[in-house]
Amino acid sequence: MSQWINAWRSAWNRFWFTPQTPTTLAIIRWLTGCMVFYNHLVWSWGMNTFLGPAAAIPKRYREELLLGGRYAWSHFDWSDSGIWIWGSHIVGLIVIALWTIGFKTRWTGWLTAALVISYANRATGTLFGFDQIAAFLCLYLAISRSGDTLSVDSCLNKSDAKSPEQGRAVVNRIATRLIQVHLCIVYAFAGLGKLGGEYWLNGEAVWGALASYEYQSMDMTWLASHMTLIAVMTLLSLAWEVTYAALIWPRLTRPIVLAIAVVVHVGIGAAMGMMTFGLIMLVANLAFIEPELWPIGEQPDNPATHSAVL
Amino acid sequence: MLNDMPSTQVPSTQVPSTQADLSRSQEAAPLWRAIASMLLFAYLIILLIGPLANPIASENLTGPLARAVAPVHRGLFQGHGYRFFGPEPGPGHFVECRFTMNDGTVQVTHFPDRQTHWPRLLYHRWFMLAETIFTELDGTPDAQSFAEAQAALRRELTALRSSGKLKQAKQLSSRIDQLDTEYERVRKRIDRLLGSLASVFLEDKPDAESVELVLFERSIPLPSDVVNGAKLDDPQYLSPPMSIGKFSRDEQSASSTSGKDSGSFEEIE
Repeated sequence: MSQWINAWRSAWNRFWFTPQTPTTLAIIRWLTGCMVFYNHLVWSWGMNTFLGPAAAIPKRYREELLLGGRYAWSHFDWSDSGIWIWGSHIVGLIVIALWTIGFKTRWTGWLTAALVISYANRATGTLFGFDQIAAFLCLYLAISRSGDTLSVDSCLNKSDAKSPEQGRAVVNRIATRLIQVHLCIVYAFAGLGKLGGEYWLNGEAVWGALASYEYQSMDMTWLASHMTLIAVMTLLSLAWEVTYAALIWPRLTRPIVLAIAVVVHVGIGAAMGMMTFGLIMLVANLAFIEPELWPIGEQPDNPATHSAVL
Repeated sequence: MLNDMPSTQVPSTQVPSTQADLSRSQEAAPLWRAIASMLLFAYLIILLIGPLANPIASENLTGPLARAVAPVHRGLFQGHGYRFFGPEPGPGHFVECRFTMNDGTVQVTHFPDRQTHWPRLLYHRWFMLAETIFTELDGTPDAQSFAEAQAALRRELTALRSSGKLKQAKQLSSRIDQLDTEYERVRKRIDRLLGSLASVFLEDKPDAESVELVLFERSIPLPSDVVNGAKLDDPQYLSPPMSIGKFSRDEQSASSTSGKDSGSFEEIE
């Protein structure tokens, strides 16, 4: 029994607390930062409509709609002044840009996460998957030391630069694992939720998604005469989503799972007009690429000693 | 705190001689590892409660748990259901805004609108707003249907009382009151949302006297229809228009000067 407990404890510790270099996280920071910046820039067009004091969605709406809605804080509730609303928006854009390039990353990281949460809470009713994924990526990246490489911080601090091995940190591992585990939860519930749907099981669901006029951004109606292909796409994407949480971990199946992720998410992005959602899902999937596989950023002296847990 | 998780420190002057020494030097101290483990475990449980309680929660387990962890879910914008396109990809929805102008003419806009809502991300925000409005209304019967359903329950209550089943009558009576309260709460929330939306539209159109919001549902065409030449935006796939509220500028001004919620607008139709 004690052996079993020790084996579990050891596996848990290896999984969560093996120090890791920040390269993968830094790349995720760059990409997430660019997308979050774009998202906030686009909010500029909807500032008065969606976020301001007289917005289409009343401030009390989320309190009344959501369980525990009063905890859904937003800095837009703190003042109705135009200077505050627009001032915080502009400062927010600057903060996000600074975080993206990795300037004062540990501070700007937390501020960016807070901004993403604050905007999402205020804009309840206009949100979709992109907001959910961006929020957890920013949150976990804020925990990490992603600014230790591929950043302005790392350029400025070259004089006291650490060796790549010393650049490893436990918090990088924790942040990476949180992204990975959270992503598995997302796919697992997305897949399980579809198992109750008739059209997912009879192979027609992808048609339903591609032939929705409101979503459509690319005419894919030619597929109407290729319903066998639609059935293959439907069942393959269902099987992929349901099994993602199991098959993403073994090295043998991981490249296949990631390759399907690229096809599915680029497809959703291009055909259904949700490029932001498709891309942020792919960015989150990068967490499964081990730091030493990148040709840039900090590399350990001996990658063999730095392999992933599984 | 996790950012500063201490490691088993190696003095800066002491250079680790081997990879093994280095790895050991960077491992988190056992106490911090234990604390972090507990926090991580608790966080993962909280994370899992989100999709287990959303969109449907068990009254006896995941519902109470979700209520308990709601501050964390809401504070960190977590606790989502992640049922993307599940259980089915459903029909799309849009809202038509019919403005009655001062000169009596009618102007019509709608949201989402590919022509005016650009970039695509902004279009998607409007699209999600239309879907939110549909979801709210879809789960809420209109006043007449609700009144009829409640009247049927009251008749059942009278029958229970007259047959001496007082315990069951008490339970039903409490249920009726609960439904009344809940309906009023949801109806007010929806009215406030629609009223607020109407205010924004009227603000953008200074020459409009009133605006009527009309909800449409667009079904997914059958593949065989499309093979035979049907277009996705063919009107045959639209549901009959459903008027969800008409709001006049005068009432808007009255409510804003009296400090009332925009949701206090009366529906004209």
